[in-house]
Amino acid sequence: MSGSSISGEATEEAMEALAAGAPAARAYRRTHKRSTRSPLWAIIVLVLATVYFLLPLYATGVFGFSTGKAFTLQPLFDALGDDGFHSALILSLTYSVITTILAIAVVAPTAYLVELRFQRLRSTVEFLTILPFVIPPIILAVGLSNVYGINSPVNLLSSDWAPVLLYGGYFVLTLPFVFRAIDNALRAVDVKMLSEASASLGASPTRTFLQVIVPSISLGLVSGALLAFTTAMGEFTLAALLGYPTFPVYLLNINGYEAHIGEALVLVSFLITWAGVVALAAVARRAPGTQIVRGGPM
Amino acid sequence: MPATARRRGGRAAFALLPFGVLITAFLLIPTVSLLWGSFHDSRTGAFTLGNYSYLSHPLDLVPFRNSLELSLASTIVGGILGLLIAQAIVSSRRPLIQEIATTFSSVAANFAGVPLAFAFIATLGAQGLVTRQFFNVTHFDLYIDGGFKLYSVLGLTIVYAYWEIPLMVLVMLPPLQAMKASWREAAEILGASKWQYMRSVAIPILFTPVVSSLLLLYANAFGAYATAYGLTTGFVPLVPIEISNLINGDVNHDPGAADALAMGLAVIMAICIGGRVLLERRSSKWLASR
Amino acid sequence: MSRLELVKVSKHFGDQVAVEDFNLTVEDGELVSFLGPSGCGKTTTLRMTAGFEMPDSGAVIVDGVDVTDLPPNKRGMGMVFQGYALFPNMTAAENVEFGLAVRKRPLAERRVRVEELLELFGLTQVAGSYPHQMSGGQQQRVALARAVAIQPGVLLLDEPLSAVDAKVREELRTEIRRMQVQLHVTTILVTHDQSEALSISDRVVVMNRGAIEEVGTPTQIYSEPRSAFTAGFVGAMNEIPVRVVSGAQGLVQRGGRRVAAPGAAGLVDGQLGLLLVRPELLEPIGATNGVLNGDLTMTGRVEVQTFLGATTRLLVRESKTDTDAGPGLVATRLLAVDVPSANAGRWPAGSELRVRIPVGASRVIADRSAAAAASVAVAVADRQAPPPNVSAPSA
Repeated sequence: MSGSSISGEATEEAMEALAAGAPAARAYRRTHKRSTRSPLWAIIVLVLATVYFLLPLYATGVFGFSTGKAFTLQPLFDALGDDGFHSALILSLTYSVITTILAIAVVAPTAYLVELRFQRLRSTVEFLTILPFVIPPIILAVGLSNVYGINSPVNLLSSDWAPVLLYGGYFVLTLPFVFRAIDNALRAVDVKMLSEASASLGASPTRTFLQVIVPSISLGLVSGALLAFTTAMGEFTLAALLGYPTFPVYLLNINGYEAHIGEALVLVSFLITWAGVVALAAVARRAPGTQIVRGGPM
Repeated sequence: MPATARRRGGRAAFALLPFGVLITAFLLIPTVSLLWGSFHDSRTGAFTLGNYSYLSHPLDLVPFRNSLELSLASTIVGGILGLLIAQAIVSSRRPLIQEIATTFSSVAANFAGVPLAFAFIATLGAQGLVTRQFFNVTHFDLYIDGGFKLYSVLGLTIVYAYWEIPLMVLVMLPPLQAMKASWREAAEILGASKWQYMRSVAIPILFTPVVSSLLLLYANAFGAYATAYGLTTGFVPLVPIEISNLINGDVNHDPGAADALAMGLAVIMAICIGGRVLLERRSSKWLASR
Repeated sequence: MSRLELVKVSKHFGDQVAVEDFNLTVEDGELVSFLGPSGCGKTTTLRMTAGFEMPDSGAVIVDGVDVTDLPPNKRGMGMVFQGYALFPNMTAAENVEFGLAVRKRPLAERRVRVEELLELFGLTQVAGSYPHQMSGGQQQRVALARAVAIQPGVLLLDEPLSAVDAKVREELRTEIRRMQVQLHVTTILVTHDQSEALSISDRVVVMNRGAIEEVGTPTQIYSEPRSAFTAGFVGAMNEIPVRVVSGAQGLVQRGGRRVAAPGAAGLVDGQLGLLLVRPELLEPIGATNGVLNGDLTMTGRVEVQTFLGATTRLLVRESKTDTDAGPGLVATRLLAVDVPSANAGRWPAGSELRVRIPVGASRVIADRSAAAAASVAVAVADRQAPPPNVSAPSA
């Protein structure tokens, strides 16, 4: 290679290209003048996408907030007045709140201990938290019904302990994202260092966990809780197949005979979902990497 | 290990107990029961492989065929459109658009289930908004003249797309954003056309994330129950619906068959999720490189 | 004919001026650096040369041919990007081969050339490695090899060493220069690191806020900067306010002394100017060397010593009073004086120090600050108006 000089043969190509077409070159200049703004095709795609996604919501609103012709909030009031609505909503809220508390209270110490001390168990635990993805609600419902259903020896469904079955089921369903949210938060903080510092100052493990670890992973706890809560509130499959009259089940039934009310409630539930996502996004802004979507089938 | 450490370890392990109990009671045991039940005849309780007879000719089973079709269709639609929209978002280069799009995609993806089904009934149902407006404009009734039915695989595909597309967008945004502009520019100044760049650099790099995302979409579609039931109340046979019929139905109550079908579904899910895990491990090093 | 010409190139982003009226001629085989702080427009100019940005006006001319309207993939240039931009899905060899493959060169030819280049850059070991498996320095060299593989007419380097460790940086920049000379490829190097620009360039273009501040060889830029900005940006420079006594005679005044200083010719008598002296040229005066007539001296106290390796920089606070320095001249200056580290013990912090500015070690430039501008007006007005009556009673 020594002694060889760059002949600039590439420049010859440039000259050929120039000879080939000035109009093409001018066209290139034209399109590249817009280099700092969004390309046209992207804008078109996004506009079409927006229309497609807003359309069903609009249609729902039209249906839900009318009794035939005019716009009215009457269906909403009808819903609020319906006893079935009340009981379903309260039931869902109860289950959701308790599931959330259960999930956080069980997963947080578990994730903490795995991170701190039982690293060997990490792959097992992670596998267990991915398992619910492989066992979507429909399959879980079958399994639970097998073991705890009416025809089984351990008949939880017919007993006073029936709610426990749904708590357990919802715990499993929300496990993947609750664990991931908390685990991400734990990994972002040097858990080992904090715990050792706390222990060296004389704190018991429990106190360390409650007063040192929990505050430092608060955002992860909040996002996990939000995900668990919204999942439980919207969960239909398990509740329907096991016979719990939660809100989504009520929603299905009411659309059978009072479509307007049903559609109105659908729009309301959409708004609530939106609120949940906005809350999660607010958390995500403070703690990047927060998961906002379940990503699993319903 | 000194005695005190062992004791501490023991007490700590105690704290793992609630997790273990819940997992065992509500995940592991039910799963095992599925396996067990699938190999036992529901009426006699005897060991049998009969519940798995569908495996020998799966496509003859209507629910299976429908589920495969539906999942494939919604994965393709969701995949292509989702990728297109995700690229549009990245190309727009405006952070505001990205934020709005991400929020909306998250909402749409979370919206799945019964509410989504009814939203679409209001839109494309026999008396739906779009159906009626379309008729007003073209005097062509989608249902009467076009034979369209929302309660069909086609209808379900349209509905599933509503959450498959945003899911694809959300999962593909990070890899697309990780594509460095300088790669394209480097290729350009080396003489490559846009197509040559796509073929040599962009597609190989994006191949893994795209396939991984498609697996997620497929698994989601196959395992979905709530949306399908909400839309069709069982009118369109699908694997999840068939499973629920086999447990709760009065006519064909057959827990063993339900278990076997559920195991089949679980295997499909496992393949998809497992594939994702493997692919994720491979692709991360490329997109993370400087 | 020159290899590359940039004629009146300008670029605006909205109402922000990125590059204004950029003119440059680059000869064949030259290595020219664009040097300046961030935001000075050097990268934008480079990208316009490459074709990734379109100038609002002006032209890019290669070998006499106007390529301004050509897309980047038709200009026959090579480029190394900040961050290297190696294709992550290809090995080092495949990366280097890419430009040749695009041009559909026969396989045998490609293989030979890639091997040659890998050897030239010392990359034979990592030929089959992927970017994420290579060190920063190795990636850098792959990027270079890839760019020169297509035998470009012009090679563009966009801050190629900014992501590399300091130690490796020195080795690499020497290698870049060696390769550039050996291959005789016309090169433009964008950098904010002045030691990089000074050490390997044939010429340096100093840029500031979108415009060319000045162009010259490294020696010219360093020893004879024509503007205060260049003087301040390139190397450390002491700026000592002086008053121009006579532009024609090249005399300036400070502290009651008059000194000859080159550069005063273009300045207005009475105007404030800045005497520029490099820290290493200020000589501490000991008992042994006396003060030659015509030398400017300054006295002060050492505030702090900064160890720089071979030299130690003494920061000296001048201790003259206002009247001594001369009307209108700020009194206490902070001077940087570089001494060999071996001798630095003689002037610990807190000690007194007197330095002289040997004739010829300094240059005068105009002081472009606002106060100085006012002094020009005053000086000009003074010469036109009759001198004030000295015996007029004060108010």
